[in-house]
Amino acid sequence: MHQKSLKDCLYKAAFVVGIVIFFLAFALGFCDSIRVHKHIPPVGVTYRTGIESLKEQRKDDDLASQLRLALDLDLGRPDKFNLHYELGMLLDSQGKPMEAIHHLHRCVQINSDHIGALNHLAWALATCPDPQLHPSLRSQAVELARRASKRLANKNPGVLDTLAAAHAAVGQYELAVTTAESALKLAAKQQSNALAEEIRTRLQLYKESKPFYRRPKPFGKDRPNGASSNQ
Amino acid sequence: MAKSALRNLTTSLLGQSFVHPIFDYMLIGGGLSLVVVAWVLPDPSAALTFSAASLPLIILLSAGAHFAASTVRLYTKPGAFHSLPFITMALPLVTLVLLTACIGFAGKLGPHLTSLYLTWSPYHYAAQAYGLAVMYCYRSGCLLSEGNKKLLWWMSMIPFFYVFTTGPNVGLHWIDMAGWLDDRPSVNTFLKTFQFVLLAVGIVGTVYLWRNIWLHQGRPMPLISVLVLIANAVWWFILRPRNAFVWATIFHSIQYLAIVVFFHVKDQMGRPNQRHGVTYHVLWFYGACVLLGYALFSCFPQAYVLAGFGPVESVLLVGAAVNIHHFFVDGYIWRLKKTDANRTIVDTGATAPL
Repeated sequence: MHQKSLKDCLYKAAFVVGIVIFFLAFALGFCDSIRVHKHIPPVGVTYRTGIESLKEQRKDDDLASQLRLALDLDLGRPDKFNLHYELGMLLDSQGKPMEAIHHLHRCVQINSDHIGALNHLAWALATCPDPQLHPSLRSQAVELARRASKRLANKNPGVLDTLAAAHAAVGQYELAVTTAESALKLAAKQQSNALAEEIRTRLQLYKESKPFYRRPKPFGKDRPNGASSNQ
Repeated sequence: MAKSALRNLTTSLLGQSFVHPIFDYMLIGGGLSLVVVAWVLPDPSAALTFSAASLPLIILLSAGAHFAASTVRLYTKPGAFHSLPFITMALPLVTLVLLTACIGFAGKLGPHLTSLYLTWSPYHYAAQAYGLAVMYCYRSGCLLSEGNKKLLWWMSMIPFFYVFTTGPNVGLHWIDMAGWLDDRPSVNTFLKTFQFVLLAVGIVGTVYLWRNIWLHQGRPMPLISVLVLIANAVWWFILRPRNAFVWATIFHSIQYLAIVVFFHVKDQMGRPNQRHGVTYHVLWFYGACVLLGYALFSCFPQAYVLAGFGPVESVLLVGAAVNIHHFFVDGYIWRLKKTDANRTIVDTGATAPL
């Protein structure tokens, strides 16, 4: 009898505590959501809002950590292309080229026709400053960049710039020079002056039979054509 | 005489519906979902033809409300506090503690919580299909022997076995954390073949079951019981691999909501001194489900973000925990004891022959 009433008391106490915590959490969550969204919490909250907030605040380390966690936890989501892509680009800008290549490679495995993924992976492989990168991986950059450029009818200066860097990375300097000159002409025609200036700088390297290895740049400052800039 | 026999056969095949044959077949049986599948199949991206604004609302009104419905049912079911003290009083706090631990150690525990939810989910769908099939049989006077009930259970579970053996990060692949399965192409080939074997067994087994019941029970299993099994199989075998499972979630939820609202209304109308009509009880129950669903999915995760946890683990693991809590509670609230007033909804009063 004593045991039964003790058990009842414990259950009742657990119930009260549980319900109080739940209602408190609901109230705090509701109020904080109003603060964040400036209106009542939207129906169907996803973690995207939080991810975008971290991007706006430029908390790159937290953002990378959250994107990695999303890859581990969002198991019900069959298509993780966007997560791998965002993480790959972020890691690239943080000066972690090998990790970036891993995620961009996953992107191309998921969607082998995505021009941005092909271009960014090719760029990352061709211009990776890490000497431990295997030469066979650098040679893949040529094929990837060629595929991306072909899909754009060889008319995108940024992607041609990537192809030129890929040629240079495997020692094909003559091809690098001709490709970079084509890219430069297109950039000038499209009045992309900043891009043209960068291509001009790299073209000089190719003429001296030197490949182009880059330093990372801040995440989110890609040119619209997808190729990254350096310095 | 022949006309009378035909009429009896038609009635047996149609079964005893809860609301109306069209309502029962389309919504509870899952008939409408098969129509949608035929529309979505040529173009799975049509699965998301709802606008970005309306899809979350539709999911709240169906799936969100359905997850909350088991909790609302638990706390409004007469006698639940007395018969299920742990589930009603201790489980909320236990769930909160475990959820908080998983969010705190999201990197290590989070994937397992998610895999548990994704593994349990097809079992839950299959168990619901089995429960509904049996319910309609009993309501329609088609009494099942123990042998036929067991066979019906196995047929219902086939979609679950399919997902358990083939789903990434689910079932076998969740248990196989070292990646042993992925390193063995022969095992993967076997599992791929196994899928087709399962499908064949499911089709043949269901036909055999239906024929067996008719031969030995003297009347056929109502078609809606078969429809429920077929709909569940289509959801897991066809919709899931094609990224169109959002539809299955919506239809499973509608199926659940229809039944749980029916049972709730029966309970409330049977209470002494109750003064409200059916419409009031339906709207009250559904409204409570929608509100609770909104609180659980839209507000609760933000409390964890406010406490300093990241948005990814807060949103995803709250979702997983709500699912698991729903599966757990569901395993208890549908157990109808002999003294349960709702037994009259399913029983015909006769006993099934052996």
